Amino acid sequence: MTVLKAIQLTKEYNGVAALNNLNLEINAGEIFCLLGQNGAGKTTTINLFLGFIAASSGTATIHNIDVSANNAATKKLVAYIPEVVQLYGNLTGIENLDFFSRLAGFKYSDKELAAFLTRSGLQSNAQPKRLSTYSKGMRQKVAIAIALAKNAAIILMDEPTSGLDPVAVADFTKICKALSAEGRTIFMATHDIFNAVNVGTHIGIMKQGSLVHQVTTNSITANELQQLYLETI
Amino acid sequence: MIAKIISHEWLQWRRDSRLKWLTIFLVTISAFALWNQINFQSGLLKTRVKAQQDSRQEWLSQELKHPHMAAHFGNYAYKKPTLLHCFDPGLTIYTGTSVYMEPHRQNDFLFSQSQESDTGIRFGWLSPAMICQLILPLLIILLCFNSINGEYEKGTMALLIAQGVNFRSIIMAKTISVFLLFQGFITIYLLVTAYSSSLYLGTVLDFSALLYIWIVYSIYCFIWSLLGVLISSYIKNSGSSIAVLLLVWIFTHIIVPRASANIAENMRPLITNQAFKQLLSASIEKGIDGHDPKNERAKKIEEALLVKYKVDSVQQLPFNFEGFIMQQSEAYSSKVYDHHFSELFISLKAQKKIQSLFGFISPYISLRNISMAAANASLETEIDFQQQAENYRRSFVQNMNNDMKENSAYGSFATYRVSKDKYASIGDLQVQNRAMKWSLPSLIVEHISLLFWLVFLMSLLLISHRRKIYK
Repeated sequence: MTVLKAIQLTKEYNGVAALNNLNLEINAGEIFCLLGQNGAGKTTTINLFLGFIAASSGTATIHNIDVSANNAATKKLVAYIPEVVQLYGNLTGIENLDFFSRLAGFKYSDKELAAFLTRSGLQSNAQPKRLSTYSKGMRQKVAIAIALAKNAAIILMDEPTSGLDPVAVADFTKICKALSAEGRTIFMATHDIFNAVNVGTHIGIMKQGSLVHQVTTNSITANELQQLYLETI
Repeated sequence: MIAKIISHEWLQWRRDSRLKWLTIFLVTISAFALWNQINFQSGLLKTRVKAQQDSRQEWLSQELKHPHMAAHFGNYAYKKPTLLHCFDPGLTIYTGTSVYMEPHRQNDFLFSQSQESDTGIRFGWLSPAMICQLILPLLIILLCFNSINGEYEKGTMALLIAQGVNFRSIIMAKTISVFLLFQGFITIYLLVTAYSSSLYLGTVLDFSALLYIWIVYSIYCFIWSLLGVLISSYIKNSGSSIAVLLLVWIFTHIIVPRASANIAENMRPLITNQAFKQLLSASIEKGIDGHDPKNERAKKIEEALLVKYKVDSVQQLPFNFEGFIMQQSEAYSSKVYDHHFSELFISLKAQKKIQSLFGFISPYISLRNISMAAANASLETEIDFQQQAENYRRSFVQNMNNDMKENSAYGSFATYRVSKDKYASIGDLQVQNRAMKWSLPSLIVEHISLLFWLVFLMSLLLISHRRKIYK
């Protein structure tokens, strides 16, 4: 079942196309990794699906609902993990999660909140501590917990492994695979080719606003993908 | 949604040590300002009550003398401080609140705090109103300069929007968070001021004025909260937004009030004190139009009386001509004072009106004028006090002159003495402090300008939701 769909999706800034006629279909349970250089259009694609920006032409749909026509409804279906996850430093992990969950319309007990954080890989002794004491990887886990607590079937991630140490990346990969196994769909923009092959089920390579290649990870090795990527850009 | 963001903001502030220091600073300076005003106003009240009693005692115990000479003994009018003078002493610092009343002349206010202090007082006096007008906007700036761009910098704005929060709701919630905090402070501060002032001053509180002040200061706080949050939303960098907000504060609180005073002074210049006195004296001596000398006026009056009473000399008149001429002279000088003072007051009011228009550039000017009026310390209330005192002076002097006219014989100036009962029959002036509604007609521009600020900023809020919402 197609959950994310882009039909001739285009975004222009002052006549320059940041995204050019993107056609894309992502099915439930897939982990779709979008590769490309800075300015290739990865973040623009995510922002269009989130409804943060309006498309110049074309359509982005989530579960067949047009994002631009009914953004409030599509926002309920997706969770988002941004590249910079500082959150609120003088609140604890639990408090941060509680705040964002309430905004999304969910009221959880402390026990339930702790369970989300544990599931995202954050150790229980860190949960009552303030975020100002957290590493980037730990904050990333809180962001994942926020996505889990939103109970969204689709998770959009923008450079989620940027700046994470290898252990944190490995943890992150494990969580993504677990989420996929639950039937959740993940759409992420990344620079990390090897992690994309490792975590993703599908990979797209973008160049200057266009989706140039689209492959499945079981049809390509990391080295082949690297070769293709370097040839493309 | 808005309530959740508000409680979240407050939770963050509770954890922020900067807010603790700000609170300590605000409470300390506010307590000092209140103590300073209560101390001054209660001291002033005691001094004035005592001065009035002493003055009364001296009036009653003066030796029996000619009524006109007794009138020259003079009398003082004291404007007693109202409770809200402890909140906003307004123009009373500059105008003074006592006036010496005597025959032939309308005197200026005496004993202003600015006359008795060094030049520093001209930059303002520490009062609760000054805290709320000047310091609160600064503290609001410190709390909300990064309220929106800080969310971008933390990367939380995109998360907030992705959770389904409307951008306008975020701005509104941030505004209300700051506003409620400071409105709470204003509410408590006003109540504490009213209660503690009533303990020391023992005068009756004008509740409508207190409520009115609370509403207007709340609006002022809302304006600054919304302005701070909006500027934070329009300027990407929090460092730049605090600089811009501080510039706005300097512009609205320092530059515009002084520039408006200069412009008003240039557009409607006031006559100097020396020239005004010379003008009064010349008008009394030579007539308002300069062609009616005092001696000729007296001559005309005398001739008219002789014709009217069909007598040959003033001695044959059925009353003391000297008393009558004193009354006429007093009446003419009153006419002169009315003429020139009304011109002066018209100029003062025109200056104030010009300054009021600058409220459309600086809401501080509008708030300051409204606050002074509610506290009974505005230009209008000070003029009213002067007029009450002047009316009393005229009635008091005419009363004494009438005694001379009716009860003494012509040429008995050196021998006639007023009765002891006459002194007691002259009561003290009881200055009426005006209720808030009395001042409202003079504050129309101020109300409109505050409303303009509200509408203007709310319009910006409506536009702001169309701005970029991701980093």
